Amino acid sequence: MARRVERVQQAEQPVEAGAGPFTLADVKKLVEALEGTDVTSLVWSRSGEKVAIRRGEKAAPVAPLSYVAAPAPLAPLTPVPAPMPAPAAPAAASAASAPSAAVEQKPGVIVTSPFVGTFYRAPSPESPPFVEVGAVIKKGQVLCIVEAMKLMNEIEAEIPGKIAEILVQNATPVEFGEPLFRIEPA
Amino acid sequence: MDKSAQACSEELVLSFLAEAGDAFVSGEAMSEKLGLSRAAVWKHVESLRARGYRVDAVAARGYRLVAIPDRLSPLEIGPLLNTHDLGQTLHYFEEVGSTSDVAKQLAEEGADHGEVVVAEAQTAGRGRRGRGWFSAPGKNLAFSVVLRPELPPQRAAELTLVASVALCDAVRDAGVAAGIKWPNDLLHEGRKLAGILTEMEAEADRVHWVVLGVGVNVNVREAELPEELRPIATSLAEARGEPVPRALFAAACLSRLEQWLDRHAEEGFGPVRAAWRERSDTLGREVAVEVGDRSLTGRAEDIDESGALLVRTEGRLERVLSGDVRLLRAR
Repeated sequence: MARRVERVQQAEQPVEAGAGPFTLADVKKLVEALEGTDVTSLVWSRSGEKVAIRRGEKAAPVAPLSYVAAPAPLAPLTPVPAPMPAPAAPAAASAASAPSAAVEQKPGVIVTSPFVGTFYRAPSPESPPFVEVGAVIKKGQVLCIVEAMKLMNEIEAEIPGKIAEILVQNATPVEFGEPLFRIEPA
Repeated sequence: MDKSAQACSEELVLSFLAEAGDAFVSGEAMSEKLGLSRAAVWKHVESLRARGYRVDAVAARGYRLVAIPDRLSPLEIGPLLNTHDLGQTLHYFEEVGSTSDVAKQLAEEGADHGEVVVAEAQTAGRGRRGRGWFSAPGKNLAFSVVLRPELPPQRAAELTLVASVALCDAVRDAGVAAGIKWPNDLLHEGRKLAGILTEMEAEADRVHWVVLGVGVNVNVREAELPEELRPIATSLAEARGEPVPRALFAAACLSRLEQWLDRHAEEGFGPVRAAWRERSDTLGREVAVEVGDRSLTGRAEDIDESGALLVRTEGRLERVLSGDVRLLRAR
């Protein structure tokens, strides 16, 4: 069973360089200090400010939501070494705070699923996929569809680039926040 | 009186007659309420008749709307609407590829919540996963609504069930028994009356737009259906034995839809879930569900608090979020 990342309160004020007692250098030090440890979540308060760091695999969804009751296997879905869970984390994750420093080290940008449903690579079973690995994509181009209860959600590229990896099999269930594509920005 | 004012008071006369339903309205009452002379009321009634409305006029009783032209233009639907948003802006087409494609384009260009695209005919009506949707020009109803709900994207799928409950009510109001097949097909005696296909564009935490596409077999007769659809599809007219005024039915759909959307916005999914269960043609039955290349068979037990179908298979309760559901045998 995958480690379940403990949920922590979001820092009330996002920590930015130079804002308040915490500096970006402080946060970087904290992140470094956690590397190689089993600690998956840390909340540090100082002078009335708080920094929350979460790390490890993608956050487990609140409920197992999928076509079949068995949760999707975690390992194949996180091929990108992800020291921080920011792109896959629920909205509660404080993206503005510490983890972003580590996310930027990833090769490319991860497109995650905005909701629970079934992942489709093509508009219909007969049509060719929206994109293949290696495809050069424009901003706003449709990458896939995630369906729940006949609600079709077309996921678009938010940046131009190249499809480096497709992380989910066609017609399989995906969770909220699950990584779908890795894009190398143009 | 200029032309637009004339058209405007004509619409008022029409609304007044439509509101009264099967009852007679005296010319005197109308002239008083609408601030028109009785001669003007008579003139408007004549003009409505020229446009294809059938209005009875009986001495000492007044006027009664008997039939409206079987068109879906704003001229016909507009006066029948009692909504605050839905259909107040109506984009009407004689023929269109798919009303949802047009609505999506409009949504991209900034269309407001409640704008509706309606067409007499679709040349490329769409169903789930690229399937076609049969169009019978001038006989059926196809419309798409642009919604901008204040919902997190994770809850947007609830709207597909909201729509099915609303549509079911509109169909029942038209005197046709109907039930819902999960998630949102409408069936009459096991055959499909209507389908709903919903599309969305969203960010992680914000819905940009939802386009709700609705197709209803209204006045198409069985003989006019493609052969492969005859065993599995039917229409309101087949079920009732007589045609349904499409403009009236379209207005009823929009009004029911708005009521249920409002209720969902105010009270959440709870009342929708309860109403869906009451109208369900699925729960308690053996079903086969197919998604992708997998399938499962079991008894449809319930829908959960997000609308997913719960199917009891051998010893397990499976939660189904998408897929094709087939009803296997009668309750």
